[in-house]
Amino acid sequence: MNVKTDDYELVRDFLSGNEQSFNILARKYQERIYWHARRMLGDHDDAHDIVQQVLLVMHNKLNTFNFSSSLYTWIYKITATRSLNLIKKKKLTRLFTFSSDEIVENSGYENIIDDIESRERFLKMEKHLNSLPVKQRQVFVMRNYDDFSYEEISNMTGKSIGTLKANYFHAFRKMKELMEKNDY
Amino acid sequence: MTTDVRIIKYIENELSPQERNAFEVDMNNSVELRKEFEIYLRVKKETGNLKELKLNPRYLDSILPEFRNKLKLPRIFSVKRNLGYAFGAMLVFILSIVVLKNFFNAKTELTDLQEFTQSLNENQRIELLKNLNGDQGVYEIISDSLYKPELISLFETNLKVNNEVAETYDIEYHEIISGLSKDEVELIYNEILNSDLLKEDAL
Repeated sequence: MNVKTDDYELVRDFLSGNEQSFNILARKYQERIYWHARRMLGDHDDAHDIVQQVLLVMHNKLNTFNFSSSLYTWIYKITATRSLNLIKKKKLTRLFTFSSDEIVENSGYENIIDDIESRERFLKMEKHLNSLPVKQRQVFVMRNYDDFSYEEISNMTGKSIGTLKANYFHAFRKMKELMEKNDY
Repeated sequence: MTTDVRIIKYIENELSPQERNAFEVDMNNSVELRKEFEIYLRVKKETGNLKELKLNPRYLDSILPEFRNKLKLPRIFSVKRNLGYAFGAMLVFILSIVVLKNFFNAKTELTDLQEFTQSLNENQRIELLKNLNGDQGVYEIISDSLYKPELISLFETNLKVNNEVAETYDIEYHEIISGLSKDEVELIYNEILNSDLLKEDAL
């Protein structure tokens, strides 16, 4: 059986009714969706919710995707927007419920990373990332983890390259201070 | 360019060849700069190492079945969510009514007043102004000047009231005036205005 791997073909196949093609697309991108959401939100449950939301958007809206950009960029944009919206929503909820800004420790999901040492390092880094303001965190994650250029980030976020660079430098400096402070 | 920015730009490969060379020379000559650079590099490397993290395959395998199950489920009517929307809609509706009511009331009163004043002729407007000022103004002007002997005689003449009689019966002039009709007050007022009696007074 010839397994289609090209995004264009998979999308066309799915739109003509082949759900199996959607499954391939979902499996191909689900991990990247998770990691972006997880790094932005700092919480497994939230990241998991975002994955489910993005898959739903893909399933319902792939017919509007016109291949003017890569499928990954389209999915990434949805993921980034959804993650930011959830951050805003949680901030509002905290404001109206007078809850503290304290980050809730992830529990019960440590085993999503099998390697113990990597897990520990990841959790430490996640804590630092969560200390960054959202705008700085976003550009830091997009540059360092998702390998986007400033131009690509600018196209996705609508922010000027100058602003993105300034945010990135601030983020980098803060991350360095945090790691220095925590005896890395 | 600050040292931090220089280091970051070096790591991010954003310096020109000349700037890179200059930075490397500076780093060779400065222990502090080298130390700072090492910390920044560690941040970059640590981020890079964590980029390749793999999720537990069991978790990854659970994502799609969960999504498929959600697709199969009919959309559940959420009482809590719909009550929330209903409450929000009602609040917006009530607020809109209150705001619109105030807005239209204010506008109607203003419009009515404008229409009313525009409908009056000049004499009617003067009359209206007089009424708005009230007769109190006339009384005040007269009673302020009551102690002037000339005024007293004027009152005596006009009101045909003897000052001594008034004093005997302990009648104050303002009491007499308050009992007068509008026309009588107007008559006295005009006489006072036409006389020279009030020239020095603050009319």
